[in-house]
Amino acid sequence: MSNTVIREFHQARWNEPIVTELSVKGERGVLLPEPEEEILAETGELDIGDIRRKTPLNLPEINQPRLVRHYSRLTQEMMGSDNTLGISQGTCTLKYNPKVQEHLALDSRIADVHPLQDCSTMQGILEIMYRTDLMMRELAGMAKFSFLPSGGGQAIYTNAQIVKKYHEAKGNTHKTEIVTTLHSHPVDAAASSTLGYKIITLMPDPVTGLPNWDEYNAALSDKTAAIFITNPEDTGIFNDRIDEFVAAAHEKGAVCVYDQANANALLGIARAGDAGFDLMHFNLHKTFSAPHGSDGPGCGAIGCGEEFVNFMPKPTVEKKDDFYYLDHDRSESIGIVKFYMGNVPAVLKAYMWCRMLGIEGLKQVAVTSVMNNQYMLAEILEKVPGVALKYDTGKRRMEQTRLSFEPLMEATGCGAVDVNHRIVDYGISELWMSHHPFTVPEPFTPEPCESYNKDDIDYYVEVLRRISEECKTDPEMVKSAPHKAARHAPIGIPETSSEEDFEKLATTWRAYVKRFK
Amino acid sequence: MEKVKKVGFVINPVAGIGGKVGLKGSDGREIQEEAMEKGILPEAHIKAERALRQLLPLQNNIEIITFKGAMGGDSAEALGFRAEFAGGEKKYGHTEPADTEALAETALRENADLILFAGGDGTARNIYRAVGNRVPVIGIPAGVKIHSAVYAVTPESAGQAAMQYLQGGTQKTREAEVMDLDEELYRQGVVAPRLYGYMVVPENRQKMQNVKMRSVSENVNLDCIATDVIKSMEEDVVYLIGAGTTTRNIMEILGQDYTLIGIDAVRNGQLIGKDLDEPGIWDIVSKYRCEIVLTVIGGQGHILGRGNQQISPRIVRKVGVSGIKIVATKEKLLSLPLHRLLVDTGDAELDEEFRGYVRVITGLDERTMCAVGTAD
Amino acid sequence: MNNSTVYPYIPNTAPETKKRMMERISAKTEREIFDVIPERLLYDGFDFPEAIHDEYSLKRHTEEILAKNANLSTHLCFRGAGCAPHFIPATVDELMKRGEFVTAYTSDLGDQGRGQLQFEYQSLMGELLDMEVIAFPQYDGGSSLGHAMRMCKRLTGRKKILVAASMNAFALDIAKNYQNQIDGDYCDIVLVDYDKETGLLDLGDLEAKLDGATAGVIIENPTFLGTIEVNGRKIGEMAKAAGAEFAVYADPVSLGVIEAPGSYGATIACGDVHSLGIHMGAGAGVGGYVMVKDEYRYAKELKDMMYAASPTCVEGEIGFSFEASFDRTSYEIREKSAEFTGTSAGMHTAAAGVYLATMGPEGMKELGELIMHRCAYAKKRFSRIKGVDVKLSGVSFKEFVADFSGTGKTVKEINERLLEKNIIGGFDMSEVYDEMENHMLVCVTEIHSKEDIDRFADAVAEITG
Repeated sequence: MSNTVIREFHQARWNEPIVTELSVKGERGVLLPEPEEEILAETGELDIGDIRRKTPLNLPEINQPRLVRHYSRLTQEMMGSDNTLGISQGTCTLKYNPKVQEHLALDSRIADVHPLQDCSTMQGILEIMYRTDLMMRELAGMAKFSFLPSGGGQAIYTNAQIVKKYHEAKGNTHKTEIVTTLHSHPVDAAASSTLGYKIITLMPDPVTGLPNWDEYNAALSDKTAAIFITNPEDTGIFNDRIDEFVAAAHEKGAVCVYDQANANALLGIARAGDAGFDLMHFNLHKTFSAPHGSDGPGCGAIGCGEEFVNFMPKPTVEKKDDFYYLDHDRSESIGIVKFYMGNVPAVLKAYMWCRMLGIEGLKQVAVTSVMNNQYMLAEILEKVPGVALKYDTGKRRMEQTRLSFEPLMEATGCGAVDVNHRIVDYGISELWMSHHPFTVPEPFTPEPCESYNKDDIDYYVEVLRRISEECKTDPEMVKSAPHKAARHAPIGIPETSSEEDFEKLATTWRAYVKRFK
Repeated sequence: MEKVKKVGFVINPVAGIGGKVGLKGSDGREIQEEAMEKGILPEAHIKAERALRQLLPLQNNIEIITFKGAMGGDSAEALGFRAEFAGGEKKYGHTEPADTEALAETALRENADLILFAGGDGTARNIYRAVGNRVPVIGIPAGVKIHSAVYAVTPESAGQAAMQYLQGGTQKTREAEVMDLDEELYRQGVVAPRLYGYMVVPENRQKMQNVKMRSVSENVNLDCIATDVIKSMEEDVVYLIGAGTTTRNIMEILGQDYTLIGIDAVRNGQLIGKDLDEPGIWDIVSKYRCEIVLTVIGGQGHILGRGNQQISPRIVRKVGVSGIKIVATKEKLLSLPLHRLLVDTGDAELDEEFRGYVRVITGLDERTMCAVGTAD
Repeated sequence: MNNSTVYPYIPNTAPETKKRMMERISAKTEREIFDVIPERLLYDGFDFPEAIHDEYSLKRHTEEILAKNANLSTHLCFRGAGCAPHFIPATVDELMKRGEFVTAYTSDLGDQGRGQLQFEYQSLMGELLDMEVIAFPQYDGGSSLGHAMRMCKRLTGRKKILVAASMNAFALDIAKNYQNQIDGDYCDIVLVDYDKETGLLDLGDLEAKLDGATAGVIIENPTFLGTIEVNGRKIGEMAKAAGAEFAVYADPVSLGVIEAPGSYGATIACGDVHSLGIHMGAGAGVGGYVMVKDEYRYAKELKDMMYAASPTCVEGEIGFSFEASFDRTSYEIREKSAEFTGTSAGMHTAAAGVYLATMGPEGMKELGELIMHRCAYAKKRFSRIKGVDVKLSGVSFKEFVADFSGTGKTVKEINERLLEKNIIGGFDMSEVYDEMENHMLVCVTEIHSKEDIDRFADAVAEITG
C-alpha cells in the first residue's frame, strides 16, 4: 500500500463569540402568544410579593437569523460520527446512528407524549418497550430488562442497588465488599462505593492482562457482596474462564454483575446468562445504535436473572391480555431511580435497529466488529512505527485493542497525548487513551466497530502512520497541534480541584469575565 | 513560551564506571582510579546528552547553569545550548562529590526552574544534601546503583519529563525517594539500602484527554488512603507508622509531628515516639498491642527490608503478619516489576509467612490485591 | 437467514471486502476470529423476531405501533407533575436535528463547538439562577436533588435535610433512594409541613425542626402544587441562621418573573431543565442541574466533570475543555462513599441553552406572565364548576390543585371521560399523596389558549355536572 489519499482537512473556524456577546438591545429571537384581553380582565394584577424578580435578567437579545447562524457554526466545529470517523474513541463504540431511527424519534407520536398519560394512550410506547425487553432477554440470556437507567453509570449504580436489596432480603448483613478489576470501567467501583461498599480491585496480570485466578480467589470471601466485571475488558482481551470466575463468586454467595455496556463483540455470539451472571447491562447508546447525544441522555438497559426480577426498579412494563401497562405495585423493588419511564426514544432506536438487523444481522455486528479490529490491529502493527501491543500478543483481540505509543515516545519524545493533539488536524476525534490509572504507558484504545468499512480503517491507519512520521520529523509541530481545528488548545484550564486552581475555573461567562478579562 | 527558563545541569562524570569493572558502585576515589586504570571510558555524559537532546526544541528559551567542562559545560555546548558557567572548569577525573553539591547550590541560588542531573544514588544524595526539596529535580540514570525514585527510567524519559515541565504542560510535583546503599557493606555483598530523604520531581502525569479518564491527583489519593487508615484506628492500640510519603499524610491529618524517613508511633491519635530505632520499637511492641503501617520503599516493591531495617524480624513476629497494613497508590503498585511486593527481613522463614496475596489500602474503603514475594 | 445479506449499517459484509479482510487476519471461518471463546460459552438458539431488512417496511411497521400513542397533535394536554407541554422554538429543534451534534461524544479539541454550546448553556443558567459554578448535568431533577442533599452534608458535616413536604414526589423518591447505603442512609430526610391553605412552607414547623444538626433546607419554587413560595427569602435567612445550606429546586421556566434563587439566599440551586425547550418525549426530555455560588467550598463538592473556558495561545480566542478539575469526581475524601458520574443529559442542557438565548430577557419575562395569567384564569374557571374546590390561595405558576370530592366523581373517572373528548386531564394526585384523594393537579402553560382552557373547563363541568 498505501494508495490511501489523505484529505486536506480544515475544520470550520468561525471564532464565534460567546452567545451573550451577540446581544443587541431590543432584538428578539422569538415572539410569544399574548395573554387574551378576556383573561387579563379576569385575572388583573398578580401579586407575588418580594419574590418577584428584581435582579435584571441578563440574557442576550438576539435576532433569529443570527441565532441560527451561531448554532450552525458551532455544530460545524464538532466531530460527531456523522461527520468524522469515531474509531479513536474505544469502549465508547461510536457507531452509525441510523437516520430512519433519528427521524422517527422526533415524531410527535413519541416526542410529544406526556409520560404520565394513561397507559391506554401510550400503548405504542409500551409495546416498543416490552418487545425490546423480549429481544434483550434473548440476547443476554436474562429474565427481565429495565430501561430506566439513563446512562451506563446509572445502570451500574442501579445494579449495585439490586445487589444491596438482594442481600438485605437474605439477611446477609456481612456482605460489604465488591470485587472488580482495574480493567473494568471505573464506575463499577465508584457507583458501588456510593452505596457504601468497600471496593477490592484486581490488577491485571502483567503477562496476560487478565485478572489472575489465584489472586481473584484470594480476594473473594464471605464478605463479598458481588463481583462487577467487564469481559472482554478494555484491553480487548477475552477472559475464557469467565464462567469459572462466576462460579467461584457464587460459591461465596456473591452476586455476579456483568458490565456489558459495550457488548459489540458478543452480540448473537455469547450471553451473560449462559456464563452464569445474575445482573448485567447494555448501553443502548453504545451497542444498540442510539446516539451519544453530546454526552447523553443515554440508556443503560439492565437485565437480571429470575431470582432478581422482583428487585428491579419501578415501574416495570408488563403485558396482560394484549394490554401493555406500567406496574408500580412492586413491594420488593429497589424503588424509583429515574423520572417516569427513562429514555424512551433510545429504546425506540434500539428496537428499530434490532428489527432491521434481525438475529443474523446482530451476529454480523459482532463478527464484523471483531474482524475489523483484528484487521486494523494487524495493519497498525505492520505500518505504524512506534506502536506496541501490550499483553499476550499471540491472542486475538475482540472489538478493541489496548495499544501503546511507548516506542514512539522513546524514539521521538512524542507520545499518546501528542498524537491526540495532532489527529484532530486530520479531521478525526481524539484517541480515547485508557481508564485510570494507566496500566500500560502512552496508551490508546481504538475501536473500529461495524460501521466502518475497510477504506475507513485503512484511512485511519494511514493517518496514524503519518503522525508517527511527523513525530520524528517535526515534533514541535505535533506538540503544538491542533493547527487545523476550530480553536487552539485552551491554556489555563485548571487541572485539579485545589483552591489555587479554582482561581482559574470558569464554567460560566460571569466567572470567565471575572477571572480572565 | 516567552520566559527564559533556567535549568541547572549537573553531570557526575564518573558515574557508572564502577559497574563496568564489576564493582558495585563508583563512590570513592580508589574505585574511580581502579576503573580508569582498567581503561574504562566515562559514559555518564553520553547519557546526560541523550536527555539534554530532548530539550533542543526549547533551545532558545533555556539557559543552562553548569560548570565548564566535564560536569555539564562540554555537553551543553556540544548541543548548542546557551550556558551560564559558574566557577571554574571541571575536568574528568578531577571532580569530587563536593563539586556536585556546589553546582546544585549554585543552581538553586540562581533561581533555576529545574535541576537535571546525571549520576547514580550517590549523586542523588549529593544533590539532596545541597538543595533538599527546594527546587524540582530530575535524575538521568547513569550510575551503577539506581534505587532512588528521583531518576527517570531512561535518559530520554528524563529529558521528556523536563521538557513537559518547562513547557508548562504540568507544574505539579511530587516527592520521590533518595535512597542509597552503604557502599562498603554492598561491596561485601550485604544489601542495606537506606532512605535518605525526598526530593521534589515533576509529576509525570499525562494531560487528561477524555471524559472517561478521570484521575485523582496524588495528594487527594494519599488523603483518601490516610483517612481510611485513621478511620480504622482502635483505641489504645499503638500504630507504628513507617517511612515514606504515603504514610506521611496519616500524621498530617492527625496533626502530629513526624519523620519522613523514620518510624513514628501514635496511640489514640497522639505521637508517642518519633524516629524510633529498633530497641525503641521493641520497647513499644513489648508493652502495647501494635499495628504497623508500611508503604513501598524503592522501585523494586519492598515493604520490609529497604529503608526500614529498624523493623526487625523480632518486631514483625511480635506484631504478627496480620497486624501489618500496607498502603500505596494504585499507580505505585502498577509501576512495580510484575506488580509484586517484596519482603526481605533477613529472616527467610519470616519472609515466607508473607508470601501470597495482600489487600493493599489504595483509597478510602478501597483495597487492591497484590502479590507478595520474597527477595528472589 | 442468509449469511450473504449485505447490511447497510455494516459495510464490511460486502462479500469481496469481507473475503480480503478475513485473509488479512488469517481466518478461514467466522468461528476462527472468536477462537479465544471456548465452545461452552457460545450460544446459537436465539428465539428472535424476524428481521425487517428494508427501511421502508421498518419505518411503516414502527409508525403503526407509535400511532397508538396520544400526543400533543391529537390531544389537548393539561398534565404536568414535573413534565409539561411547552412551546419549543424552532431554533431549538433545529439544533436537535444537527447530526454533528447529536452523534458527538468525547472529543475535546475537535469539539470546541460542543464545548462552547455547553459553556453557553451554563452561562445562561448562571444568569437565570444568579449562580456561577456548574458541572455536567445530572440524569434528571431527582438525581440533582439527591446530589444537592449529599453536598449539604459534606458542606456542613451534618446529616439532617429538611425538605418541603410538597416537594415533587418523583424527585423526592429518587433523591431518597440516592441516600441509601449498606450501613444506613447518607442523609436523613425530614419533611417540613406545608400550609394547607396557602400551599406555602409552614414556617412554624420549619422553625421547630431547624436545629444545629440541620445540613440543609430545600424548597421547591414554584412548588409541586403550583404555588409560588413567596417566603423564599425568609426561609433562606432561617436556614443561614441555623448554619445550614439553603437549596432551591427551581423550575427554570418561571425565573423570568420569579427572583433568581441566588438572589434570595440560596447557596445551591438544583432542578430539571425540562421546561427550557425540551420535548416531553414520553418522559425522556429531562436533565438535572446543580449550580452553586462562586466559592471554592461549593465548587469542590460538585460531583461531575466540568466544562470550562480559558484563553488559547491566540489573542482573543477562547477554548473549552471538559477536563477542568476532574480530580473532584468520583472521589470524596473525608466521608465514606463517593458519588459517581457518567453520561447524563448533555443534549438536553445544550437545548436549554439555545432556548434561553432565543427567548431572551423579554421572552422569559413575557412567558412567565403569560403562564401565570392563563393559570389564574383556569383556576377561576375551575372554581366556578359545581362541586370543585380550587385549593390553595395565592398566585399559582403553571399548576394548581383542584379537589373534586364535591362532584362525586374520582379523578380517574373524570380523566377517562376527558379522553373521549381528546383531552388529557390533570394529574391524579392520589397516586402520590395519600391525603389528596380526588385531587387533580391541573397544568396550564403558554400553549393553552383561552379557548383551550374554556374547552377543558366546559368538558369537566359537563362530566361532573
